[in-house]
Amino acid sequence: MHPLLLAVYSAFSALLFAIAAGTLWWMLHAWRTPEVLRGTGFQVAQSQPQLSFSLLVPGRHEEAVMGATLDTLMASDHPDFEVIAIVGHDDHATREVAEAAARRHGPRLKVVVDENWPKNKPKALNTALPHCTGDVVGVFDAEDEVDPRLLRQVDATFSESGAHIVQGGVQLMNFRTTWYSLRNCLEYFFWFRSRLHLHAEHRFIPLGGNTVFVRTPVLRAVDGWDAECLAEDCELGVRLSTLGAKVAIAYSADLVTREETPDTLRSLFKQRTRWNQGFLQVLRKGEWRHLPSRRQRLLARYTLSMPFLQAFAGLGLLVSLATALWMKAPVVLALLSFLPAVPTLVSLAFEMAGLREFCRLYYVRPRAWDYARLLAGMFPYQLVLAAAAVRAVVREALGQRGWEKTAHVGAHRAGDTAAVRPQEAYS
Amino acid sequence: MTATATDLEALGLRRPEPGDVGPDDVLTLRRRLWVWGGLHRASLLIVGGLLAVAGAVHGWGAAHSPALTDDEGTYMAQAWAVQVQHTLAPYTYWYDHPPLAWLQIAGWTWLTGSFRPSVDAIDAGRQLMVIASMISSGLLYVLSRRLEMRRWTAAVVVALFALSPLAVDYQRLVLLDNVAVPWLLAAMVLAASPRRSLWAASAAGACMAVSILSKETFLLFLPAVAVLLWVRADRRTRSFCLTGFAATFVLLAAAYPLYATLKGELIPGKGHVSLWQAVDFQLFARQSSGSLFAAGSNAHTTAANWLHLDAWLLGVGLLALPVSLSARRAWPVIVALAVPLLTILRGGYLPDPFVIGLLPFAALSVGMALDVLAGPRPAGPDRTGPQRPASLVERMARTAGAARRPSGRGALAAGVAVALVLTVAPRWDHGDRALAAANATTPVWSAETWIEQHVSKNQRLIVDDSIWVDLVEHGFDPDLGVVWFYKLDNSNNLDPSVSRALPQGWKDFGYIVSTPVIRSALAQMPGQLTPVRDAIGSSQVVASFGAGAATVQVRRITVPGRTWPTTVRRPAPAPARP
Repeated sequence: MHPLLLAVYSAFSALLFAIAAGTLWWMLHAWRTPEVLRGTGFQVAQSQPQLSFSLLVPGRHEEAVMGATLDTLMASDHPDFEVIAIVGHDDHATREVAEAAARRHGPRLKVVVDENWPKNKPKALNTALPHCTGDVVGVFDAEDEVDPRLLRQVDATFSESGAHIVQGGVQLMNFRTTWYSLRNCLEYFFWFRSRLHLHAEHRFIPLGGNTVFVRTPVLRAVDGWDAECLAEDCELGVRLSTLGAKVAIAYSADLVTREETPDTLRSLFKQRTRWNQGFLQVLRKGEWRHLPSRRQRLLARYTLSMPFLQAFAGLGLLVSLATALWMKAPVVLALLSFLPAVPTLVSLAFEMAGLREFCRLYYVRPRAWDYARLLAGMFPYQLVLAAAAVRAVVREALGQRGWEKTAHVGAHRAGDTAAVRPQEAYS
Repeated sequence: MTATATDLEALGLRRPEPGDVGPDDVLTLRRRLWVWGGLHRASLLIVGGLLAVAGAVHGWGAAHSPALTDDEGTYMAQAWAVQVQHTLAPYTYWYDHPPLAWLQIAGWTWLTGSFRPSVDAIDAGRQLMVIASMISSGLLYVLSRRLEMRRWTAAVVVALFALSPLAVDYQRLVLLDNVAVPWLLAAMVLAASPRRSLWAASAAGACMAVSILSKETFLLFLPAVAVLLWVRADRRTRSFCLTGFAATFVLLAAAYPLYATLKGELIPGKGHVSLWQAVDFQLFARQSSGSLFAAGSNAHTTAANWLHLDAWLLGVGLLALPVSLSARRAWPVIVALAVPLLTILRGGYLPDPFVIGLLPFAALSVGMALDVLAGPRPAGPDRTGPQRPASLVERMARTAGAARRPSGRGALAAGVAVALVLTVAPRWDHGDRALAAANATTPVWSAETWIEQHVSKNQRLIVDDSIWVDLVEHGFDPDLGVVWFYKLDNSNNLDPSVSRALPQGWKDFGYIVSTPVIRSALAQMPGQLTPVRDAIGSSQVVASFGAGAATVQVRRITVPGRTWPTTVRRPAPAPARP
């Protein structure tokens, strides 16, 4: 074996290892020490409500779920809030549902019609921004199941932390619906319970798409959302991070906003492509370069390049395994090929610990079958993610920037028997 | 953006400008080191003093005492094979032990350039062992402190561990166990991390894996490390810490069977060695050493040898166990001693170096008993409590303010400690002096010199492993020019390569070097090693060194009807190695 080839291959293996190990380490941020775990847990805020809220709910072809979502939002126990449903001028079904809800709930629920074309979520949000009268703007998706106690807690978190932004927890719940839903749920769990806190600590945060609250003057000062970005939530977070905005994370199992996983593998694939492409757009836009510290810029570069890295790591893992199994390689080289698989397998072990924790938090009894599915789903799920990453890179390179939407059927709502038609939506 | 800088400022935001400094840590490394040193200055002084004494006791005379052993030669030869031949052993590697220990030794010999004719290989290895035992001593102090022991009881632990003649004797030997111990102690230090961090737990798994890949019997200490991690971990992060530990441990340890699999040597097959056979041999096929309590059994002899060197460390260590039974923090120490001891009592093969792994825990057991005896510690800096103090500076302030009240129990414990020291000190002083003064290796090295000067390099020699590397370094052929004596009889090992290459057996050899190692092997294995017995029987002494049991004889083998001399046949000159 040529020493140069061996060196190149070692470097390749080490790089794959480093990518996977870095991601793993950040995924486990909250469990680094008991103190970090306590610090990232939800501290029950005691302050009395001091702020007023404007809650934006953009919906597109969401007539199946929009009405119920508006009802739960209106049921909030906070004394001072308004809800603004945003519907497209061409989407009569959703508009009817929203207006019916407005008749039920009176003037605190407004309906705003978005006339923009082509339509996307940031444009809808920007349309509603001038109508907001609250001190704080909150964003929810049309299928979200929001806890009525959430607003009081968010209000108190704002007052006690002095933050510009509060990101609430979002959790996919239907982890037994499809083979990939368990992994999808766990991804959310690790992201909101753990990784986001790391970002908040380092003051660089790609915000989530909903249950996110921003002080209205701050949002107006930066002209709202980027209308052309596929990941407008992430983009806003990055832009505010460069201005030194302070973010507080409010994650509590009781108060998370509950959502459903994409109903088909195809829509998961499309959703993931859109997010990845959005991240790439934010990376290209380069606002993150203005972050003051080197460490923040590094974190930003790494986080936003995740689609690239994921595509690279996915393909790399295949190359490694192929080398290990089929090439008549020297033993040292073959051993090196297994190096990148190590963090992946360690991740699997931690996902099992995470599943246990997830079930404990949400009062579900984990079954052996769940662990088996976690194990069996690892490789196919990685492949789907890697494929979506590759597709995002290709689409961005070809300049295809259309908005691919996710359908919602309400699988996260127990006992929802309404005959629903899968439809396109924003989230 | 339409907002002006003033608008943003009113909101608590500001547009970044070139040269802005981010919210990075402001404490410099130098400042941190300084604060750390100040915080731990008492411990640093104690450990520094102990290590200076221990280093002198271990290092002084390490080249000459104890006598060279076969195993030391084997491991140095394997390290030589790693460094020079880029293989795991000079003969077929048959999975007798995982190779990580001699890979580390090879790292040392490579760094120090030890494999050259002017350096005795085993002497070079023993220097590394002295360093390893110093590292172990330092780690043992940290571990004691992390087990919430007082400074003085931690110092007692290190003194017992470092100065017992039993420890000095065994820790000088180039044995895999001596490489495994620092890794085991590092794993325990990490498992007892005061911050109870996930990183430390995972690193503990990695160190534990290195430890058992250095010496497989250290698997017996895995329960102790797991118990330590369990009792130290916080309830809320325990499952993650245990997962991190288990995952890194299993995946790193799996590299060994994976290596065997990649070489196609995991399971037995025709014409190759296998990991499976080796494990089967070590665990089941190997002749039992008999009962520990049956006089005359190998186990009894081995244990008697240990106790002859020093019975106090192991004895007091065992007697002290019940004292600390009630203290939760002592459980890992108890498990660390109990599991290997039960294994010994169960019978089976008892390797002589087995005692090495027990020594740190025997010392810890004594220190822990003293600490428990001294009663609960006065309220001081609590580094293990739930609150992590905000900064090093704050911790230093707390330490400075800690009250120190003498107590009755403290005086009792101190009294016991003083009595113990007064009892063992004269005995250990005698034993350690003997180890520093004895000269058990000179006959072997004199014989080596004689062979190098008087025996032609193309002669074929039967030797024990301890002089193999030195002869090879002086030009004898590693490939069947100098041959380990027990390779002639493959009833006792799984490598048939030598008997296959030399079908005439001992009759193909010109010389045999009779050493105490060979003679004691013959005595211990009656009925085996027949070719070696025959070779000695058909030879005459041509040079002799030393006297009594330590005698080393160079003997020329004569075979009736053989064309003399028998020389190494080389099919073709070997290509030069870089």
